[in-house]
Amino acid sequence: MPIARARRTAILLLLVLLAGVPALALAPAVPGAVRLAGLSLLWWYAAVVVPVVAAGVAVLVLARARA
Amino acid sequence: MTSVRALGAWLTPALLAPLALRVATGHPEAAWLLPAALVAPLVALLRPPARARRDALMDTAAGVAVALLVAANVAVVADAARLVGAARWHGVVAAALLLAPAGLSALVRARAAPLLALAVGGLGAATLTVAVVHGAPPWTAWAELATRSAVRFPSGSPWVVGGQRMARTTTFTVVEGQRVTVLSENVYRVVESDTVPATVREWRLGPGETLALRPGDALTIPAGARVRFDAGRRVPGAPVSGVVWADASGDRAALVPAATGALVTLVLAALALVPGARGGRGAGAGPVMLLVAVLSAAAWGIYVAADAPDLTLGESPAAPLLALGMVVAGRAGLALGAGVALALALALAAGARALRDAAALPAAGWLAVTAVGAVLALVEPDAWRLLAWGLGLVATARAPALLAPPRTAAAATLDRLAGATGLGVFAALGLAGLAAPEAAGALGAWPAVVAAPLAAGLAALARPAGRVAARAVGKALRG
Repeated sequence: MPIARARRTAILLLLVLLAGVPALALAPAVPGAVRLAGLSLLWWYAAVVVPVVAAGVAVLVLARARA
Repeated sequence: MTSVRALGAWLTPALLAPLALRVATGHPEAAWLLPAALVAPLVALLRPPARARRDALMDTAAGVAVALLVAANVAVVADAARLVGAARWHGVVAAALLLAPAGLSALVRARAAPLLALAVGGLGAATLTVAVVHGAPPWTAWAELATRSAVRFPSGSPWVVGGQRMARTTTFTVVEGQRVTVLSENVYRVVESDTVPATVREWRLGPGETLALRPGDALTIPAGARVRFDAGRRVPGAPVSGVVWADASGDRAALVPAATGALVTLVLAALALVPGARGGRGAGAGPVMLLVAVLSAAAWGIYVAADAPDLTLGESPAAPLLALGMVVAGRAGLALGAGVALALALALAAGARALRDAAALPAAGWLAVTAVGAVLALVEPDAWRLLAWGLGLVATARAPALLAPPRTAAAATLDRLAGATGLGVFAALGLAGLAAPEAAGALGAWPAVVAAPLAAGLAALARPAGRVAARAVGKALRG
């Protein structure tokens, strides 16, 4: 994939990940409040999944890029 | 620009300290702000590097925005000065004496990346130390706290042992009977809401006198007043229980406008403050540093809520970061607090240079901005509010520059008009938020959520593609 397209795709993916936070918090039946191993699903997503996946994607794309 | 250096204007104490405080107090926005504080600058870093466009009006607005961001950082240092018994202005002067030369220094500019790496590494190491002393990782501490039936003063809390000074004027409503012992002469105000209309009482009390509060009473303690609470009682202003802290969603429908405002403002402000990074070897260091910094702030907030909820009393953003070490590790924690203070000072120095570059300020301009920021921090002590205004203003000022450069002189003029309109709307909403915060709501707190897209949208109309899109939208609406 050309690097410019990879950057654009990564930005889109990051914004979709971020949009998942309000979706999880505001969805009917409040799935974000469900506890998983003691932690609520909203916090697993907002403080673990989004940060790790977003940083991982950014590292991969920036490491590949030459410009 | 390298990915680490590009983050200098973002990873400042003004962002990290209030973030940790919001997690500690179980603020409804905390779960939204955490990922936004990380994703927003990543989006900016992933843009292809480009030369910034300059415009006198927008650069001036960006300079004012940078003054607000400087003020937010100075306000955090001023709060820290209060913690160690000094006056606010001492902290303001100390912060200005660090920021002014750091923003002018060629050495700081050349070494901004290692400075920021040291700061984030220090914060990460301090968080690991707290985790080891606490004896559990943050997610276990979160789960334990989430089952607590009440958030009470720990028996060794400085608020119940010798009393503490309020960093700023604070009002809280007590949910159970509470006795407050006054340790410094001041005027204290109590609003009793069990009558209609509510009864307002004001007393000038001296050391040793007490205030007996009933459930529902709202007490206002002036900045600098020293008071002591009774051990084992609920922490005023803190969530009433661990369950409430963990599920701090509040009124979910009412939260949407504020949370949307925060997300939009953070993303657009990051695009204005964080330049696109060069790729290649070592470029992954920036995102990793961002991850460490934001997760450290989150973990720190969780440990404060679990071990020292009383540190959030008075909503000083510096207290959770600087005083947690003392609470969890006693005197040995002094070194931890000093380490965190040093890390924040390094981040502030690296941020000074990056903020100056973000507004393309000459040396004299930077000195003026630092002076204005110091005065603003004396007038408005709320670092989060100053940060929200600064981020919103810089997002609005730079919004037209997110589009392709205008090709004609007429288009450039329309660009300027679009930017000026956005700034006008920002100022109007911001002033409405100041004058009538309840009525203005989220638009007053996050004016950029309307102003920045408006400026970018009007600027788009100056481009052929924008006009085509506008005609298509108009046609679709008509028929």
